[in-house]
Amino acid sequence: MNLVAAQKGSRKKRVSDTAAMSAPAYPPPYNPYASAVPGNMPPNMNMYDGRYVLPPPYTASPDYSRIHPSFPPADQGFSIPSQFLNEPLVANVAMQYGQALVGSGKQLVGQELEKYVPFSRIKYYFAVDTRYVTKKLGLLFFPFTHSDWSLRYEQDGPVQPRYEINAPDLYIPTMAYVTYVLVAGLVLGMQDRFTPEVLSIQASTALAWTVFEIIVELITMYITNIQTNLKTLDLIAYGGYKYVGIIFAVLLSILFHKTGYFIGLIYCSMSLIFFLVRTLKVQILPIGTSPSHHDPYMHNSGNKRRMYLLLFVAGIQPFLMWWLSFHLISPPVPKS
Amino acid sequence: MLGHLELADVERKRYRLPSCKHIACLIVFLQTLAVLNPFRTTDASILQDTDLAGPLVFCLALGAFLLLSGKVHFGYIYGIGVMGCLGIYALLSLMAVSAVTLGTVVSVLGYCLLPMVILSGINVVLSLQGLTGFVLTGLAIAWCSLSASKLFVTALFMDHQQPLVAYPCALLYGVFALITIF
Repeated sequence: MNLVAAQKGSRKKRVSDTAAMSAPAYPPPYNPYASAVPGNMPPNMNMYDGRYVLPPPYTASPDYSRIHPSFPPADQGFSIPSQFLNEPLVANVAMQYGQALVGSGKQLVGQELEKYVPFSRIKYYFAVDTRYVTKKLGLLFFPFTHSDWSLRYEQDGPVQPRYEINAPDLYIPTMAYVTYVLVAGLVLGMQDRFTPEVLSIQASTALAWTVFEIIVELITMYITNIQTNLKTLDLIAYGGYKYVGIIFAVLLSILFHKTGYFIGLIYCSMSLIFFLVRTLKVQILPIGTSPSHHDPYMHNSGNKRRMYLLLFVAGIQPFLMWWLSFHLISPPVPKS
Repeated sequence: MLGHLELADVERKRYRLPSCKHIACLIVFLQTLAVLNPFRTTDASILQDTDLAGPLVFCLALGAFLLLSGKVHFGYIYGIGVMGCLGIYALLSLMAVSAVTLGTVVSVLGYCLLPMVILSGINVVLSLQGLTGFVLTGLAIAWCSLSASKLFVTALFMDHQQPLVAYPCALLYGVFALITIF
């Protein structure tokens, strides 16, 4: 670049050239602190000749020479800060400060968000793998031969669903919910009842009923003063498993209309009730005769209340399954 | 073809950067085709630079083909694309141990939209509502979601989770197929 400057008859001195950033060389030919009226140029500006020279586009120095002109025109007297920032030293410091600020800002936002939506807790429910999902789906449809329903615990919480088939997860309920909305749209489309609003109506209705169910269960547990290890996310997970049954029943209704729908619904209800009773029995009812070593929250009181809660949670599933899907089945084609 | 050379100085030729846009486009296209081959083993370095120009081109091409079929669905493509990307980003950030960025998700999903673009191109000349159309649509959705899930799984170091990632991708591309066909 110095070669270029020399070849150009030294008519241009690039201020941002780091090799030329010695103190005596820098200020005089480029005086950003003076007013940029041409008449005020200091007399020792022999490096410039008043013309606005475009720097060549490809240089090996940092590209600041492209940004600022070699001679500040008159109307840029107010752009002092940008010219100040164009020095690479200040720009580096500014960039590092900005990056540090962004990093700490992100951390702060993450912390605030964690208070309202516990992302780290939710991550536990998504720690699944393919083997777990296939086994769980098989269990949802045929839980009658599974024998061991207990949950293994680590020091601070239950084992991840990846390693424990009986642990609840949120992947299956979420996927089942989205699939339910799409299957509802598909089925309604096959009956020529489809508009895009229908999808959002289905989605919000199902969501509202799920939220309502969870709230009722939470209030019941609070009023009857039952202490369990069940958390809200567990309840959401168990409440979401019914969508798998709904999808199965609705898909059957495509082939076999009302008969298929009711057969599918009844079978899925029975298997889901069995599944929920066996799973929640471990978590709600106190464990037999052994004192609760690893479970300080379960008291041996209110057995009848716990039984009723269990039956309530398991029993409302078929009704909700029917309520969320009966409007999707098509009437059977009348035989002529 | 070699960028902006304003002066023929020797010094300038030393510092020129070949900014050939045509060759860059060709390279991007070839990389897309190579990446979309579902039988190829990939490594995690392909997603180092997130490129959003390719996905944008594919979305516009999809909209153009739909326009040729008489459907003006640019709004649907944009809406479904944004919602799908946000949903998959949320799901992957919950499922994966390593950090996920929205740019990576958009880039991968956009590049794997190519079979959908091809399907909509076929839809211009043939009608896809018969049995062959059904099979073709299924194949296209499977191809899209398999390549997308393979890219995600290799880039984010997820183990034994590829079908779990493929399923939501298949749902998303299924919705795109729905607006292509109906």
